[in-house]
Amino acid sequence: MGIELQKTGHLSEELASLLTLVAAEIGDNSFAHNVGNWPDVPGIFYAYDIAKRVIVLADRGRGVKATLQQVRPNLTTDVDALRVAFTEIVSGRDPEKRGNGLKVVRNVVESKEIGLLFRSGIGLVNIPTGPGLMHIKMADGNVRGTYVVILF
Amino acid sequence: MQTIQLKKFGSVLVSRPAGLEAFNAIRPQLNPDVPIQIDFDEVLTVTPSWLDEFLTQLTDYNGGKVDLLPTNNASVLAALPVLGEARKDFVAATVLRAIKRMKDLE
Repeated sequence: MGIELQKTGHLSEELASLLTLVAAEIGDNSFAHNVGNWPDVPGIFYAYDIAKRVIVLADRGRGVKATLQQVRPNLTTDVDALRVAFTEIVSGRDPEKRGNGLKVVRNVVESKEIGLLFRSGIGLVNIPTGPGLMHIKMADGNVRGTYVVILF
Repeated sequence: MQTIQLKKFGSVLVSRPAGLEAFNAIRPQLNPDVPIQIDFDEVLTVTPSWLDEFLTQLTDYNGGKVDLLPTNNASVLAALPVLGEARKDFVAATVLRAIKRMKDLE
């Protein structure tokens, strides 16, 4: 996808680089945090349409809360788990030195013409397309694992 | 000085396992007593995970004698501040040196 974005001619090199970073970090997390622990369907759904300027990723993994509860047992809600995931340098694979990917994703999306919808459990992260800050709230329904839409 | 051109690992560098594999692949060519510099030219994207893993392995291997060559690569510039944050290890030192050098060049 990164090379295709680079070759479209409609996107700057910077945006192509950062979109690839965002999609890759989120997609890699699905595998890194579920390997050996897939509740049912392993793997991720990954699709993109450059003309429509949308990227979608989804997995049926354990979700952010269950992953982070391994190191933060006091996390009780999906909303709190998403807040920790996107603001703190912490990893469900502690004591490995990890946990910085979503912080970078947030910084990138908040400062560039990229929008992000990230759902896990009944938590929802929304960062508007066009520079804007992250908002985390409860969603209407439950998502098992994660579901992500990236707009650009 | 030894120079590692990341483009030789690919244009899009993603995931910790791949970062570890990249280090394992290049380690036989490295002398741990000689400083290393990392060249980001012709790489489209390096994710924070890949870079963190690669730098962690590299700096542990040669005692922190690693420098990052200045770059305009957007993904690298996005990752560096977070990689240098809240840690006191060789990677943080390498990253903070690189950030300072790039700011001085502006």
